[in-house]
Amino acid sequence: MSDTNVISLPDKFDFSFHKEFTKKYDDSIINASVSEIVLDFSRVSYLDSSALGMMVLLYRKAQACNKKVTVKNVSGKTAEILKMANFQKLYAFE
Amino acid sequence: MNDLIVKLLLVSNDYAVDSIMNDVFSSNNFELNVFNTFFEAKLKEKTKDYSMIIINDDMLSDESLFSFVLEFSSKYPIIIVTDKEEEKNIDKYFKIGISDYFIKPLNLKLFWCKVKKILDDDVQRKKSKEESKLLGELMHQHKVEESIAYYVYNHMIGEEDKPDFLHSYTLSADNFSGDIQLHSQSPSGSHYILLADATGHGLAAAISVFPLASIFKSMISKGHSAEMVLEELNSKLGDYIPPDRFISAILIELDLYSQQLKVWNGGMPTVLIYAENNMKEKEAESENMALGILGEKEFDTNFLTMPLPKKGFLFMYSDGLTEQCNKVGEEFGEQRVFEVINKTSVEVLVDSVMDKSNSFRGNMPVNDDISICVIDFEKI
Repeated sequence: MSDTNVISLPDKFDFSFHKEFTKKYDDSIINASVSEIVLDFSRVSYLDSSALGMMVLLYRKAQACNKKVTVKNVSGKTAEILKMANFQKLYAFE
Repeated sequence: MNDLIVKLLLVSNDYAVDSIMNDVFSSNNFELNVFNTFFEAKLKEKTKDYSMIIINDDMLSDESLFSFVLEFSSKYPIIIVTDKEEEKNIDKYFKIGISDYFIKPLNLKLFWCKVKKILDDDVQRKKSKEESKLLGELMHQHKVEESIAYYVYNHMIGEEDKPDFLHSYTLSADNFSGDIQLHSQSPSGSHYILLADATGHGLAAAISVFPLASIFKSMISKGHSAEMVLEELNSKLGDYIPPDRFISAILIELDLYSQQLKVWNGGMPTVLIYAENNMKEKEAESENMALGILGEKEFDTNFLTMPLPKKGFLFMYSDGLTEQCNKVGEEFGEQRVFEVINKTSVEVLVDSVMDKSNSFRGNMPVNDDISICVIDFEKI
């Protein structure tokens, strides 16, 4: 049976969350039983380019281990930024 | 205080005080050197690195004590042990830098605690001074390295003569800009304009755009197609820059032979194309991933293609423009950009948008690099 790791992102998703973000997904990348990593944007009201960079890095690591990456509960300005960056090409959106 | 031997210099000719001091500092961690005159003390001072000077001044003249303290108080903590209680006297010596002043008879417990505190504070002061000196050296080294980087940056990316139809401006959030605007003309006469925005800002972002500038200029000058230039940029940036970095970009091709305008937008704000009456005619939204993320197979080089307008203009910018905040945290936004465009002639459009942006920002710092580029079709 496969597991999903849901990472709840903070109100301000920028480089200050880098260390915690990496810590939250590192185990899931190694753990074979985790098949999907979900980024929960319900609290996010701001994200910058360094956050997009972190998401690209997570995508690359997940892709190398055949894991699915998903974005959920994204809205408003945050959704516009992700759309402009065309992140639907990297992440599944729910 | 640590376990090293702490060397103290005592200037005194009162044997009773010498004896008390020897008792106070009898532990193994202290070495107390006693001298009867300032002359002897000065000679000894030259050969040893003392942590503190204690002066018992009963037998010493006021003039020689004053000049001695004046000479050494910037170098060592100095404490005076005396039987002179006059406030004027106390004030005088504190003004020239003594660390403490004890009236005899001494309260030995209080004396010991204060001496220990002065010595500890002095150790911290010296440590801070060394750290401050080291910081100064590092800052100087950083400035030298930054000036070298700036030289390379200017020679690789620095502004060249732009054609008359191109109006552009970049406001950096730092000494180095992660935004870049390049123009190059191919052997066939087509003009290529690249507006790119690397992740972040400052030197780290600027480094990412170095390879982009050299590849772009080299490939255009050899007559490669816009599609090939994009593929090469995407591939090389994927190899050269860290995996959590990428470069959003807009590539414009003005094909003068077939009279076509081609726009590729990867992760940048929508490119706006206006007719001569400042009416919006077409938009080129970001429909592609930024450069340096996707592999060769997934990377898309589809351009928006349309006849090259004879009049009107193209307006493009980096997200630093619309995301700049004012003092109440409000973003500049697209609407303010549209308002300026609607009432401004193309010749002064870049300046007008920047004036509006700067006045909106007020005294707030520039959050991110801001770039604006306008192509005046009539002047091509």
